Amino acid sequence: MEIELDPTSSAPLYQQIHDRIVEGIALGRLRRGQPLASVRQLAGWFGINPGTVVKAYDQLRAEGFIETTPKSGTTVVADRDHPTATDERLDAVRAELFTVLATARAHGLDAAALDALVAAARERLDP
Amino acid sequence: MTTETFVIGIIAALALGAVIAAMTLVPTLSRPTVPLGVSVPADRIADPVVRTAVRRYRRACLIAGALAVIGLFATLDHPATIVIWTLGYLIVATVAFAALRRPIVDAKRAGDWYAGHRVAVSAPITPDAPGGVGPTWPLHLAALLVALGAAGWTAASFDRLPDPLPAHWGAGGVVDRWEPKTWASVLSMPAFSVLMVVAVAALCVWMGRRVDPLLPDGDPEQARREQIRKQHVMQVALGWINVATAALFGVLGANLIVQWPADVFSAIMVAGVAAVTVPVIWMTMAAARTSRTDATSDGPDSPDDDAHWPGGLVYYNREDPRLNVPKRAGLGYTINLAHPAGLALSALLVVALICSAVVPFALTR
Repeated sequence: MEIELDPTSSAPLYQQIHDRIVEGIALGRLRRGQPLASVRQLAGWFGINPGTVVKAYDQLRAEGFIETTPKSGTTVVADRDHPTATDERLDAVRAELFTVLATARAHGLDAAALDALVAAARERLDP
Repeated sequence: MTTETFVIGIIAALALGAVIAAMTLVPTLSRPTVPLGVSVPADRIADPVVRTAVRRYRRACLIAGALAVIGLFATLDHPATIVIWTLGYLIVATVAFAALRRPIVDAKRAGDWYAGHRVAVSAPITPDAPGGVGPTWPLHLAALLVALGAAGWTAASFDRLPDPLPAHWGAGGVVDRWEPKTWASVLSMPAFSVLMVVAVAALCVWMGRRVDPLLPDGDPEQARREQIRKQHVMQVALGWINVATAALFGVLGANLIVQWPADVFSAIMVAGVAAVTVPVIWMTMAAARTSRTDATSDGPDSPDDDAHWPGGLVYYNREDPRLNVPKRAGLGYTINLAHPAGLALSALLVVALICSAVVPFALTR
């Protein structure tokens, strides 16, 4: 699987790597057991600081999306067809979703517009 | 003019001609979105400022090249000046490159060319991603067979070889240095040839395995096709260079056994050097065909990374862990000067270049 990064974006590179991998899992392009490139490989393939990749992988690991073992390297452990989220993770997702919807509401979008936003995003995940 | 100086002149002119062609074709061999090493969005490829700068650069390369060839033949009685003309030409062409790119940099800054453009780089995140184009194995195998065959023939003919053994020939094909015949002196050249074949094949394996970010240049699919085609062209050319070099060494070895007359040997050597330059010329022409000149920009642009390319020619990026990166101007790879080993390697190359200019003078004193 390939991902795109925008080095000029206001979102830091580690965040972009993190987000693209989460989206890959959500879309079913990354499945449980799928190996990911090592930190050194990924840094070399993108020509970016290995520390950036470490930061992205650390965050993904803390969120329970990936796992790193000395034997099989970094692999995906989450899967869109197998619920793995802990209560703690669900709380975090609820908080993030609230902030995202609050941003839209603060821009003046009403309840119907918010519903349309959510429906459009869900449609992209399960067309 | 003696036959020897004439032969030297022909070989030197071939080499200088290849350098002139390579420098003149740099804009054609580079990605279309880095004219003279300046990042521009895909919709500016055909901008009048860009076109004028590239035209001026090509003209400067050709005029300087013509002067260098005239100078080379005018001073042919002092063959040590050959390297000076070639190096001098390279310096002049590089200065022209650095100077003539300025108008593009200024126009880009003044017009804010990247405003409103989406930029991206893409690369795989899974290790099963396909790498680049692999080596052209039949050619490397042929080169290895030629080199091993030459070594075997030389070893089998040990008793027939002269003692002392010719160790070096002047360009006219006359032996100018001898050494005593031992197994080491007889087999050193064939062994070197076999090592060279293996080293070039190893370089091709390394090139085929490496993964570099895809710079979309406004059209990711087109950019990928061009990236693959350029890799293919380089792999095939390096395969042929390997065969031609092994054959050249084979001819040198065969001459020890057969001992052709000086003029025949010298003609074979000129043909051999020409045969090595043929794959290089083919590579240049084939790669030049891949470059597009139309300004399409439906996809994301490649990021403006001028900050990492001082002068548009050298690469300096502390964040990038790679020692080598694809060249921005022309084909092949260049060194990341911010890499700890990169600086040492570059210093070594500069020393080697200076030596190549100074040693011929020291030897002719």
